[in-house]
Amino acid sequence: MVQYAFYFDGTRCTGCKTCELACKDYKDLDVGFAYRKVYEVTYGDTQKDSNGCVVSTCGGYTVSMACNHCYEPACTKVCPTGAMHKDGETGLVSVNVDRCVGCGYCHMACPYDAPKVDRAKGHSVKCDGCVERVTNGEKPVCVEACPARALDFGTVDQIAALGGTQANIAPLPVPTYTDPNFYIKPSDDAQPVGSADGKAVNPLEVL
Amino acid sequence: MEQAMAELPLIFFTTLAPIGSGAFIVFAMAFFTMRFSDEQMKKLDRLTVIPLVVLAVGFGASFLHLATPAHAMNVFTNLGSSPLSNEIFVGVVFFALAGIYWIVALSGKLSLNARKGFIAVVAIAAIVFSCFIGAAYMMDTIPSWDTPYSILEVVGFCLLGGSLLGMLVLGLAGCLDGAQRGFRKIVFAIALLGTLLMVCSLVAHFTMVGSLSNSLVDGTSVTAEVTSYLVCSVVLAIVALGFEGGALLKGTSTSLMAIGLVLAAVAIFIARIVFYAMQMSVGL
Repeated sequence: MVQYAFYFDGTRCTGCKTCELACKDYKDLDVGFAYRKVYEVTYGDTQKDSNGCVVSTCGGYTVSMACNHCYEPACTKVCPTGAMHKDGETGLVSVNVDRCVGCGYCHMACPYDAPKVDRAKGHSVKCDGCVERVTNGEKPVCVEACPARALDFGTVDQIAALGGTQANIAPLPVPTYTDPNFYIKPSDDAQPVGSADGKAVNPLEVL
Repeated sequence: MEQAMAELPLIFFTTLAPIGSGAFIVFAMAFFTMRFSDEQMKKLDRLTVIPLVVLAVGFGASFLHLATPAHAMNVFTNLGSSPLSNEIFVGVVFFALAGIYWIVALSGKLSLNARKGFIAVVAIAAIVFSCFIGAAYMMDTIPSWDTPYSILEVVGFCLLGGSLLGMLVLGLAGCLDGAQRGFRKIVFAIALLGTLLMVCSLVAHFTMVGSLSNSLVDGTSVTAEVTSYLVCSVVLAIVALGFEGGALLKGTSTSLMAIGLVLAAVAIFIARIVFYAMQMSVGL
């Protein structure tokens, strides 16, 4: 079996969200749905010190993330119907829409907030790794759309060889919960998992 | 809070299912401690439809939560591994047991001993069902729910709400005329235990969530939003227990029992709002 993985280069990302919009366009997603989301982290403040000099501790960075097609997906573990499943050939996690009952358990359980129930469609929806493109030897639309070339996609061995580490910066949880196939090259401003400075500051946009 | 309101069908289900199933615990206690005339028994058996209807409405509400109820038969696929499959399976087994008990009792073919055995099984199944309702929310990626409080709260609802519903039905069936003190003491003990479980677990759960934080929100801001709801739920549960105590002192007051039941149902409903509002992922 092949296991695919995503790569995110935090030193290249400008936070433009082209990846998110390209995905929404390609997958024809309505308002309120995005399979790839860009999380923004900002922290610190700027003050005048006793000498009247302006000092700043401000920092900020973005993390572009979709489904991480985890080795131990939280969504498939809780799914009552088996609709949410990990493909034996590609390792990609997707929804069998003929089985899904739309209970939303996958949405609750996923610590990366990847699946969501679309009541109009009657089932859970999520990033499927653009499986049809991948089968044709192409990369997912988000990766190809990125103007800064901050995203990549390939087999987990190829992606791990790019020099990042398995998703372990804020605002993500520690990777031990689901063993995600997501590798990140962090920017200088990136905060460790659990850091008080590592809050996602655009919750209305990403949730 | 918005998050909790989106789960309204589940709030109804997790309020009504423990109350409806808990009534059978009181029926079991009644059969084990008291003797009823044939007429009383017949009336009680007919009115046993009331907790079944409460349960059925609860299950109906849970269907409204599903995006495609037509696929509901698939929910047993991951029995054993999915906590939701387990919950629904145990719920269906309970409903079947209670329903079969009701039908056999109505047919008049149930001897007293067989009835005692059957109702004891249904009563135990009611507690098991409540445990599985709570356990459905225990996943390691949601630390704010991954606690035994999730289970203990629902068992509390089952004992408090169930005891009030069970007593109301017994009262309506005329089965409480001259009810023995021993029986009344047992029922009050069940209700008291239920209230203690519900109130203590809720408060401890609330405190625990206040100490959590994730990359979107701090637990303190989550709990600040639900503090007034928690207070309402706790006060209403204690007042409901008071009404049940008052009704039990008098022995037969169905009106006090009915008021207590409504108060308990509202307390449980609000406790569920608090529960769903306290969902905090380990991540996003």
